[in-house]
Amino acid sequence: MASIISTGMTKFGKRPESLLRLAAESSENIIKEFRNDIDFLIASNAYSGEYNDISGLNNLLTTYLSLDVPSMRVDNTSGSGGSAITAAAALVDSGQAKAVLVVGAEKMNTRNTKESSRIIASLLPDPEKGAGLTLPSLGAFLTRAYIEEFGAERAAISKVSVKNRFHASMNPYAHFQKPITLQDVENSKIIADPLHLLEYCPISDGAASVLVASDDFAQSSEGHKVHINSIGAATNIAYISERKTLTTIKSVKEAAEKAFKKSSLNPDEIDVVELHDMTAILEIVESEDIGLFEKGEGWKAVMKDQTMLGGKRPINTSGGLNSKGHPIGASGIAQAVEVFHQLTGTAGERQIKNAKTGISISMAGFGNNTTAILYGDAR
Amino acid sequence: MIQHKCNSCGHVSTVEFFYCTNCNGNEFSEIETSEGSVIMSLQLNATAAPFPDNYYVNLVEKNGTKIFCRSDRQLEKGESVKIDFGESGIVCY
Repeated sequence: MASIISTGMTKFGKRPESLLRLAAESSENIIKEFRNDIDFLIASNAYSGEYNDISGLNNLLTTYLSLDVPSMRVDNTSGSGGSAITAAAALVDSGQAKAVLVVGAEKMNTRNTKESSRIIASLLPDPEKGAGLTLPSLGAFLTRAYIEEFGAERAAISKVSVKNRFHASMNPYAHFQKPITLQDVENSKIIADPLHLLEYCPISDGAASVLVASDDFAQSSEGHKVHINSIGAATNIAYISERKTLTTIKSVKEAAEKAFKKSSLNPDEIDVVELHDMTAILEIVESEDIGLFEKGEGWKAVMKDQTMLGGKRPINTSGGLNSKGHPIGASGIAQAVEVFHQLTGTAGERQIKNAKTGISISMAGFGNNTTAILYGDAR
Repeated sequence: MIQHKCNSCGHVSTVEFFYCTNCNGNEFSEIETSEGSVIMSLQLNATAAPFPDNYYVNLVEKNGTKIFCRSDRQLEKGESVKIDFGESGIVCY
């Protein structure tokens, strides 16, 4: 497998810069050190056409960055980042490239919230879109189903947001910088009953970059490096109404199982966990689906603060999509950036002590497909 | 309301697929049904642009298969409804 040998990112949030400028800013330090080594570029981006009137972002980006290398754009909606890293690892593993610059970028604040809901909902099949289904409404359905099936306390879901805002308050790149209380979440408006606004990710602009290198090149380069241990990917039927259950995300479960099967690691050995918490309940469900907790037990861990920094199983120390922000194409790359910082001991005040291994879950749509990436090696 | 029954395994789906999601069969029969039961209902505010600010999305079950539909009033769990596949999308009332 390949290694990540350098990373960079912009602050997420409402940004005045262009999409290209954000992408360039996130990769600036990587290009400064590795310009002559980069031999492929992958742009991770889902909606440059809809938000920025840009197609072929990768071609504009190589020109903007003055990189004379082949390139491609990977669009897998919210899961673009995980897929882009998968493609980069495959390129270096197959010998087609030595060092792939993966740039995840999205600029979404060119549209208002209603327009954004419609754009993002375009990932749903026509009949479900036509029924008025949106991603927040799916979050609401899942919240209801989880509470009903497992008797979870409603506050547990809200506490995910409180915990992630706390983590984000220690991440200078996060969209939100201030902690919030349970009452703040409960007082925020209902966007899809029973889902509160603060239980859903914001609309963010931003970019994140990683340099994925062959093991040979990684060994020859100085500085920090994080080994990509294994990658698992899986899919799920796009029609939510056709799924057998809402409370298990099949693609998350299978992607994680595949990644663990390829590695010598098991869920109990993972120190750093970055999950796709587009809506708060997803963090709980995914934490169960990847094997950190038994099904129906994840909410109890949240109530006991076990998933908070300093707890038994810290989750989303970056702030997650909920609080760090969710510029679609950048999110999966930003997860890798957080794992890189944690495993190289450079995560500052949100550092997990002695972190050696990590996992990121990059999910497309509402689990339409998922990439699970394991980082680091067994002790 | 038309549903699609797989000729190989009998799986019924409300939306049309090229291959059966249960057995990969690709021959279907159309069956006509009229009413369903609401099994879940929720309120949405200020969502997708083509729709009004307040509407309800419902998960409706019929013949063991489920479908989402939109309504302009809150439906009760277990309530029997009719479903229309109109130009503005799937609505129930």
